[in-house]
Amino acid sequence: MSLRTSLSRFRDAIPVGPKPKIIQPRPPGVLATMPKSLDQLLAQLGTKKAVKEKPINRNPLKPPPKRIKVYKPPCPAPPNSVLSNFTTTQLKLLDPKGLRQRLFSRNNKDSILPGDILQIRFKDKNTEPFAGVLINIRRRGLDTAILLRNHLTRIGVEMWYKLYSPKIAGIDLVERKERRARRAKLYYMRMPRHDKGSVEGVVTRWKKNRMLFGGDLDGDSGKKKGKKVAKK
Amino acid sequence: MIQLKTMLNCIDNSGASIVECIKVLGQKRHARIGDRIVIVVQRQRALGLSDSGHSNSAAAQKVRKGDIRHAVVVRTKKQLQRKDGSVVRFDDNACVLVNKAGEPIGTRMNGVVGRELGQKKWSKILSLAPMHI
Repeated sequence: MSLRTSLSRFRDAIPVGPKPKIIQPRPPGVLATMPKSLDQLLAQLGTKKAVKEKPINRNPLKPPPKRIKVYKPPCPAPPNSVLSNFTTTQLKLLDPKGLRQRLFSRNNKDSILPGDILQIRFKDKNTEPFAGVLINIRRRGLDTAILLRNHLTRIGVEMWYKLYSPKIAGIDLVERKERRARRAKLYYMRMPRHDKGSVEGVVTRWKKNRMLFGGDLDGDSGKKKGKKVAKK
Repeated sequence: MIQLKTMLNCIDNSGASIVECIKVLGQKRHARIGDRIVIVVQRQRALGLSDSGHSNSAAAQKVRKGDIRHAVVVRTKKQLQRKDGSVVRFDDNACVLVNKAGEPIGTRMNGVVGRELGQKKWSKILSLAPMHI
């Protein structure tokens, strides 16, 4: 084993990167006067080009370790998954300003939480707005939906609405729960003991207050007002 | 999901208060809102305690306990999905009695009903109901 061979092997072991530190243990067969740095080592070798060598078979009984060739991928990987691309493009169409996303975002500190009382208005004027206690938020990207519960004519009614449905004109926050609910799904509200009953009184009071401040209930300004309440 | 032996509330002033499903009409496993069923009256409303003030006793006597009649499901506890993705679910199962021709026996209804009645050609029941969702 010549000095040149062993040194070149040593050079190969140095990790590539800015200011490499030589912390490798000294390989067997290297001279006692070790080069202190990479430059010193290269100066000793007399060339900056790495010399390719065959792996040395130290133990003749054992076969040399196999070299696994790494190929580049045949075609570049897609930038994102198709589904997430579709979701983002559709969300831009259905929720261009990102208001509804913000209203239910986990990052938004003032987001709507289970237990709040909401009212959903529809673009179709014949459909009456539906108000109720929010008892579940099903977060599924584009299919995100909310479950509202209310009593109509003393009968409990629950409605799931898709958050990004184009049929929905706006979502108003009528009343917040005073204390944050300690569950994400408030299904216990179905039990007669915990049932909140009709929220009609709360909604009419809220509507009256809005009328006092000159809010338009059905127009676009009403939607803005609702959002303002949500931001508070 | 109304099937054999399901107990339903009757929400019209025909005189029945609780009825039992004995047959789902049409080739169906379960009845949903707007489906026609055959029922037997299990409990009838008390004569003096009729919830509607001006309904006379004759209207409250239209059906009696043990009568077998046709009915239309108007509310189900099983959630019902609509084409726009919204889902409606009521807290009870309820129906309205109809005669063989499909006209409602009662003249008044109390309680919210599902909007699917209109699509299934029960617009007469829908117009009698005080509220639909």
